Parts: sequence; structure tokens; C-alpha cells
Amino acid sequence: MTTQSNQRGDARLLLLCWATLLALTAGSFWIADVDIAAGTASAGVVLGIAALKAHLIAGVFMEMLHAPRAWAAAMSTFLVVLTGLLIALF
Amino acid sequence: MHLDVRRELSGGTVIWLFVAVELLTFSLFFVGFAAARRSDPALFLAGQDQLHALFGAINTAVLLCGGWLAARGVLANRSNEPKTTARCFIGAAITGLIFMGIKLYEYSEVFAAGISLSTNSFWFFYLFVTGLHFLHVLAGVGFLIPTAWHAAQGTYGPDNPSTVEAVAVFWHLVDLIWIFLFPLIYLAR
Repeated sequence: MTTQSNQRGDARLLLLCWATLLALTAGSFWIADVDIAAGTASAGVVLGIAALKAHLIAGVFMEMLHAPRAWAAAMSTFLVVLTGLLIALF
Repeated sequence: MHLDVRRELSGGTVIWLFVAVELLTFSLFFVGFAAARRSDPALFLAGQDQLHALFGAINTAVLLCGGWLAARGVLANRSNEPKTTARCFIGAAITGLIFMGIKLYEYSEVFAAGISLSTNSFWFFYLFVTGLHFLHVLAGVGFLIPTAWHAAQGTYGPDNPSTVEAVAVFWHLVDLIWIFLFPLIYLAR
């Protein structure tokens, strides 16, 4: 149970998270676009941004920030390992 | 300030076990995609060049809007605002419909070019994995709409939040999967 002021605080956090996610999406699209034009590799950057976005979604939208620590740690570890594996394979 | 410091899984343990299985399953496809690409990068680059990355970016933004709406609906349910919860979940369902509309347009272009699951390994992964994700979006919309209807009837509220939270967690899972699919298929080079 939370106080009314915390409800408003959480709503602001959701809004901030949503705006950050949109900015990161635009950023990764722009970086990839520039890299495609330059013919350079972008996998590490765009997949790294994806990992950051996934942490924001899991932590704030899915409320892992308030989940039991073991679950939160498992999710974070999973996202880091998956991203590392994908970048290594690229 | 939190009055209750207990750390709990939003929506309960069962939906999170489901989330774990789903994430592991999709991860196998992601790793399979990356491994197949490593063995034939030119084929995968050629396939990627036929996709519209802008559509992928727009669909990402659409899903993120839906994710925000679902999370906002959960907050509204906790503060006993059933109409707001219903409106947020209907909004999230609409973003799912927009996503599917854009994806169907992309599929129509791919099929019009004579591409199918058996064309090559890039198109197999593209059609199979995004198709599987598409079905999850469809299921998410199918969960959001009746939950919104029940929320509007006052079925849930702060003392009965688990259905609202579990549906929102499923919707965020759909978002989370796409967050990796978008750069993997459309952007990474």
C-alpha cells in the first residue's frame, strides 16, 4: 500500500521512463541510420541500448524495482548475459 | 514514502514463472538468429536491407506508449480509479491494434515480393519470430479488453489487484521481447 503522494510520484516516474525509452529508441534508430550510411558496425551500440531499455521496462513498468531481490537480480543478470551473448555472436 | 516495505512480484509468482519461460524461449530464437547471421552475414544484411527500419522504430514507439498506458492503469487500480484503469487498458489495446496493422502491412510487402518461410534463413527467422511475437500482441489485446471491461464494472481495485497487474506484466513482456527484436532484426550490423 502506498500513500497518495507516492502514487503521484510513481506516475511521474512512469512518464519519465516512457520519455527516456522513446528517446533511446530514436537514438538507436539514428545511430543505426548513420552507421548504415557509413558502412560501419552498429550491433554493440544498438543492442547495448536495447539492454538499457529492457532494464527500464523491467525495473519501472514491470515493477522489478519493488520485487524480491533475487528475482530482480535474476532478471538483470539474464538481460546482461543475453545482450553480451548477442553482441559476441555479431 | 512507502508505508509497506514488503518486496512483491507485481501480478504474483505464476505470471512471472510464465515470463521466465517466455523470455528463455525467445532468447533461444534470438541467439539462433545471431548464430545463423554469423555464418552468413551477407545473406542477413541483404534481408535486413529489404526491411523498413522506420516501421520497426514506429512500432517500438507504439508499444512503448502501450506499456506506459498499462503501467498507468495498474497505478490507477491501486488508487481505486476503475474508470481510469479501464481507459488506460483500452488505450494499451489500441496501441496493440496499431502495432498489428503496421506489421500486417510489412508482411504484405514481404509476401508480395514472393518471400516465404523457406526463402532463406533470414526470412525464416524474420517471419517465424516476428510472427510468434505478433501472436503474443494479439493475445495481449485479447487480455486487455476484457480486463478493461471488468475494471470499469468495479471488479478489481486496490484489494483485488492481481488480474490487472498480471495482464499488465504480460503486456510488458510483449514489449520487452520486441525491444530486442527491433535492433536485432532491423538495425544491428
